[in-house]
Amino acid sequence: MSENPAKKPEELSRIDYQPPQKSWMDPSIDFKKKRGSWCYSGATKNVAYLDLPNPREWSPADEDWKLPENWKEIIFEGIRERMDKYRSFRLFMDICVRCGACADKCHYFIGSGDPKNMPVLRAELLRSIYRNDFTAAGKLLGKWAGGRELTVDVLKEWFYYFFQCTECRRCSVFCPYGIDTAEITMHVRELLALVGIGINWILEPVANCYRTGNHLGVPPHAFRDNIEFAADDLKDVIGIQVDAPINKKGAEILVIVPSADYFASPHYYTFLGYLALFHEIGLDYTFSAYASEGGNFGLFHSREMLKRLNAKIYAEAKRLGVKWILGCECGHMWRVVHQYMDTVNGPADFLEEPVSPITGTRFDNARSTKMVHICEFTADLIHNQKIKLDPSRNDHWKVTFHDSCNPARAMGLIEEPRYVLNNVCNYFYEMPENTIKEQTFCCGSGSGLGTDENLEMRLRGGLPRANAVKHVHEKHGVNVLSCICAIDKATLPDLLKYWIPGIEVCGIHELVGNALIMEGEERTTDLRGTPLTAGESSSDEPGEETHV
Amino acid sequence: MNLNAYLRQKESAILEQWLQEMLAQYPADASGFFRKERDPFANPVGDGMRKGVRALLHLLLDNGADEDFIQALDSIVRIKAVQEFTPSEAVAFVFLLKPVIRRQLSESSNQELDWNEILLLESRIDRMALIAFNIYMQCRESLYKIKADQVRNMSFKLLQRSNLITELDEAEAAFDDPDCRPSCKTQGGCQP
Repeated sequence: MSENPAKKPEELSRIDYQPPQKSWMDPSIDFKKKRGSWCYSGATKNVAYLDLPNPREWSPADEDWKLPENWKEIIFEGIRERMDKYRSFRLFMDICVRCGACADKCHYFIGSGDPKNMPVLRAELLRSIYRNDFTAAGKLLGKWAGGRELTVDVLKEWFYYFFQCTECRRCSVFCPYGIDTAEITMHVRELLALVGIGINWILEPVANCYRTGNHLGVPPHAFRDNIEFAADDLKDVIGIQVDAPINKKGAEILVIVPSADYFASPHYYTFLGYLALFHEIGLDYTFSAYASEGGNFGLFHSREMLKRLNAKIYAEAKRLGVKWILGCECGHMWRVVHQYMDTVNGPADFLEEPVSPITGTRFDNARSTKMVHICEFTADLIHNQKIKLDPSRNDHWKVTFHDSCNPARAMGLIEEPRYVLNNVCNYFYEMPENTIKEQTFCCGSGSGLGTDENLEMRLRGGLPRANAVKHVHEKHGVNVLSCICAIDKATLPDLLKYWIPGIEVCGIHELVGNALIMEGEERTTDLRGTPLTAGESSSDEPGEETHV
Repeated sequence: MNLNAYLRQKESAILEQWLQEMLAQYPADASGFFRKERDPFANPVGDGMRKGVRALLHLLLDNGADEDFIQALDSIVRIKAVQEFTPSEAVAFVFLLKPVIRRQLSESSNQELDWNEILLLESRIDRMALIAFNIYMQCRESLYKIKADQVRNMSFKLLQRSNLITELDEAEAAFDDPDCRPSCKTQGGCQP
């Protein structure tokens, strides 16, 4: 508020709440004023390690982003190249009629109220450049045809808003033309990468992954330590020493997990669940110390990077001589597997069409990629009564299920997780229909945006999800949010701490591991070490009491 | 007619105007959506505001307890604390009720309204603003705590995996105990 001696006292105390009106075409962003809503730039060492253009020290808050002199030419050439390569890109640029069906579907718009987070307007930030320089009408009429000139400020605006899209594709569900906004975001991020604009929370995991095979940079010997550590921890819970083979040539199945599963919490309990399950059914499997990551942050950078990081999975499957691949609880891994892997690195014709060695079920849906989702695999085990379950061991949990965006929308994995949940716990409650399944709300931290400096933005974007969790918490006493994505498990706990304290996050196979009745087991606690309720521990003598 | 009875009569107009003033803090495209979409799961911001202002007005007129004010204010302030507002903008919505009520009173032909009652109501609104600021600060503090915990937990795990730390549970308990002295922390925490 500026001091104005001409104003009367009552006017001085009045604040003008209406933000100054400016045209949406004005691209200016004041990064210094924007609090917690942008990510740090890619560190020079990571950009250089990946042989990417223009490695340098810079910050989005700097006036000068140290772009190459011919940056405009590079961007235009990049657009031209993508127009030629992807018919979908050209279509997405031309076909939108701005009907607004997507406008209020983005979790970031719903939580922030920033109109440029409407998917239609976010895409217009690119379309306006396309119109101006790539269409006849735009070349002639400029802004009267919805075009605008490409300037450094436009690039900065792209950086701000296209790193505020989690590529969750909820908006695409509602688009009558089927425009995939996530792909528009992917194209813009690729264009930005051409002139050296990227964020470190994507580039560092990518560089790590390129070096060690996983985002965390865990080298093979440390990977082995972690797996053995987990097997020991599991023994403390179930009283059985399970085998967790690594790089075992000739194993039937290669198991791929997100690296957070063997390193982070609460993912780790899910990892213990996998180990228990594989032991109980006698699965002939192996982990790979090189394909030690299912996640692929390359997806958030560029098609080429996606391909580079994904290649290790097939390469290891070939080297180890497995028949097929079992993929675990990961989110965007499944978008890569289901929609890109087969074309960028396939066909994997050296692998066999997946058949469960336990039930004989043939997974026709994975005929092409040769990779089966663990929820499909476990649902099939349960359906064929190949495992014994005691759902009451999860009675301390009132469970709801968050459909992770990519398994739900990119591969249609809707019913299998629910089938598993209904068999491994007694108290499962769905959130409202318009917040689950195909319409699920993103955690607000996907596509490489789950970083500390971006926390306010993540909390805005996570509000619609948290709001639905709050509803089932108040209505049914839900105390745990289950999910099948490593990013969800990493970021939802913090989201819930802010919006609804007291709600835990777990993976589905943590609950499977709890409920699984194993031969020779002696357990008094669940996988987190929480004592089982009276009568539920397998080693209890009759009459002996164990309390929560 | 006393002030309370009069304002109850005008409740829907007051709520609508108050909400209108609050929504004016957002760009037009967003405020239209926040106002029109009634599904609480499609529009948690608008729903939180709508339910919040109703509850707050009732509490003001009924001279409600602080705990109830806290609950009602939380549904609005918690959202604003992470949106692009300065602290004053985030809690300013409370003061917006004053001009709305004053407008209603100026339109009234009722000359028997007691000015003491009006001043008392305005004082209650001021008190509500102070509570709102407390909530705002708690929200921001919890945000910083989340960030600090992330760093702390990461360091703990790395130390644990490197076998540089033992008896993690006790050490964590000591760090969580605000009354624990630094000298105790090195010894695994205060003994009961």
